[in-house]
Amino acid sequence: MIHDSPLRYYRDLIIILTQKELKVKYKRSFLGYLWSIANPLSLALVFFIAFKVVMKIEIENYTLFLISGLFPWQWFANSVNSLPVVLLINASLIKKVNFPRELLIVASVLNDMLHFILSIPVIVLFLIFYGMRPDLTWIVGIPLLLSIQFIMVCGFGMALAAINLFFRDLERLTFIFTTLLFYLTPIIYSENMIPEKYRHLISFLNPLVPLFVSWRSLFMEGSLNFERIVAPLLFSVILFLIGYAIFRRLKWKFAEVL
Amino acid sequence: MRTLAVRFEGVYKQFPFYQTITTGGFKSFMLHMPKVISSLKKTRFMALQDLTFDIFHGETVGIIGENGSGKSTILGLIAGVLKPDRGTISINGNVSSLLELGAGFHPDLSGEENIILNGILLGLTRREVIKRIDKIREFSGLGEFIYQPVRTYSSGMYARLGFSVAVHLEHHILLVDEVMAVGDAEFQEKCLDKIEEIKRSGATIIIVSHDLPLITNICDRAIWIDKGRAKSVGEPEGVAKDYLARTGRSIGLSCQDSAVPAEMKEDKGSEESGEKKQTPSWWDSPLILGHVEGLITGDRGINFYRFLRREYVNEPLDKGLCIRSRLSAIVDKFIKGGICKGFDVIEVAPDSEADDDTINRISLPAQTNYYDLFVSIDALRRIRDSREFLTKVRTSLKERGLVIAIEYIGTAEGKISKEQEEILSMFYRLLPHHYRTGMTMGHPSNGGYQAGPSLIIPTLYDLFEIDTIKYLGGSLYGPLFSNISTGFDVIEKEASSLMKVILEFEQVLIEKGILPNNYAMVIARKRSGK
Repeated sequence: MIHDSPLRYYRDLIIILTQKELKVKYKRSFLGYLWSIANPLSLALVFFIAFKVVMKIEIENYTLFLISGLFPWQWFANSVNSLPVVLLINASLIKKVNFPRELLIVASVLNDMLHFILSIPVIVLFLIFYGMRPDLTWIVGIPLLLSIQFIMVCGFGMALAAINLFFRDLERLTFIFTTLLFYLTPIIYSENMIPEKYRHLISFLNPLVPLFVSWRSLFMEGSLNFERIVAPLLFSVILFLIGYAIFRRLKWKFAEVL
Repeated sequence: MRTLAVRFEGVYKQFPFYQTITTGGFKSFMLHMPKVISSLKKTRFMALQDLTFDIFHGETVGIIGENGSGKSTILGLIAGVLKPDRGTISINGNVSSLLELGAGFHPDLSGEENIILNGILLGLTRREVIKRIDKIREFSGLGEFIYQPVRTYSSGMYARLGFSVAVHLEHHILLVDEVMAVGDAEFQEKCLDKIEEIKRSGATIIIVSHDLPLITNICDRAIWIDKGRAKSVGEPEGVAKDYLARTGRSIGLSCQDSAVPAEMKEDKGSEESGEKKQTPSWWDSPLILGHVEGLITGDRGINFYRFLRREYVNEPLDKGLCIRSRLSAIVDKFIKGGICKGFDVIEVAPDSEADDDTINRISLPAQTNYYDLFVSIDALRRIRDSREFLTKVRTSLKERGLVIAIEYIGTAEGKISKEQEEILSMFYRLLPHHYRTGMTMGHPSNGGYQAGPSLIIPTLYDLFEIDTIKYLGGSLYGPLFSNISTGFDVIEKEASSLMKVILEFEQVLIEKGILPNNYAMVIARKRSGK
């Protein structure tokens, strides 16, 4: 689309699309925002009972340990699971209007990211409950990790959304993939509980490992290990480039298959 | 100097049938992978083929064509959501699409929120939408509903909102895809006014529609797309006519005349929706038909078929026999009009003189007491021995069977006077030139027919019990009846009206005794007991 001020237009489009999602999500529900934290909190409760109460896992402050991994995970999983269908939902628009389709993905990821940001105060509450306090490193750490995860999820999203139009089984596969990935990422267990011989292999194969370990140490210890985030950063940039390339390549076919 | 808004140059667009992957499922995809992939390459649907056209700034162009002819593909290409396989498309200016019902609206957002969402999606910045929001709100006429979620809207209100947004964006090129049919009459009028206004503002409008009157009314040009090619480009009237002529239907454009009874129009409506395509015949011109029917029934307000039902046929008859030289639509009309359920038809070649073959070609079904109805249309005089033929007809008719004959009854001498000929030639000159060619004077040439036309009535008298004779036309009626029916353009209102006037004049002259009455409809019954 030809436009006098493309940057402002892009900004407006992203804002309105994100706003739409936000408004729509809780428009007709009574408790609104509470629902976005209720889900990870209830999951945390289930895992707490299963692993702490029943299986007596030896991790201190296990509740805090759980939610500091579960909240960012919730963002990742929600986005990745919903992105394959995001183009399908907007089919009527895509068939008629030539707006930058990439922004549908971006807005959807932004929306889930906002929910995650809004749930950070809950983490703070738990920190205080366990007698700890947020650290100044958060000011650098949170935006940094947010950007890495944002780029990564967008990369996944573009590839998944584009390919799913031609291969609808992908949305089911994605769901299975994220479920597996959840247990392959140290969220309900700690990284050093992985047997020594697999530890390096897993964190090498699964770039989410260093990312989620970083989230947790940032929230719980206020520490940020820059060496550990180089790998996920590289991974997310490469993934984004690949995802975007796939998206661009298939973009012209969207209106044909929808 | 006109500047180009849209240019298509040798554009090709194919669609593969993507379903082949998914319909077969994963198993068959894996098992027959090479086959599926090669079939994907082969089974492609040619949506557009070598399409070239120009649209200039400020023009309003209508695109017509049957479903699946590629119209929407063209809009998709202009909107930039599709890419051509070959050829080039250049667009000058920004394009806005009039979205189909509610596309891009979110049901849970209010009308106002949706205006902003839609406006931005269609290419405006937020500030630009806000600037127009009052106008849009006012134009939509939704009142307080604008603050309600659009899921509470009726489909008409949806359409109003969509239309209101799209037309207020002030884009250079507006694409309208068959969405104007929604909303009430008042709003539709408003839409048309607005489109006129956009037209005047110098914007380019491209409309896809099946509504031919709409296209002819508001477009400067029309393009008829057939199987992905531009079949005809130019004046909307001309293109619409070409389009109708090919499909053989008289959709919408048929002249509306008060003389045509309402029932008649309904009749036409059901014909349009029917699968069967027919070449429009002279009998199908509502103007002429209304006129002739009026002459027959004596009252323009009464449909011919209703007249027949009222006067002669109470229950639809079971089986009819029709002999005709032209006007194939008549049989359908008899069936639709509830006169008769089915017909056997004998065709007599329209231009043939009654040669030796004629009677042999007419193989009258041998059954006796078989038909309820015999309809003859301008055919008896073409038969060498009409008496022999009519005797056969009589045997095949049931007791009290009905005979309807619209026939040339001629003058006793079979010729007309000098004075009469002068009057007739005056009328002929009035007709548009191309309808005149091939026209002969109504009376049969001497010796051409062994059974003189004047014998038809006596024969009918002899064989049947005559109920009514309605005289309905003089010498002009013959050539109109037999010659014009192929060349006559039933769609063309002007020609139709002219014919009607001529027939009317002739009727007056017949009544005054100046012209002989050459045509009549005879209604008769088979005598019982003989």
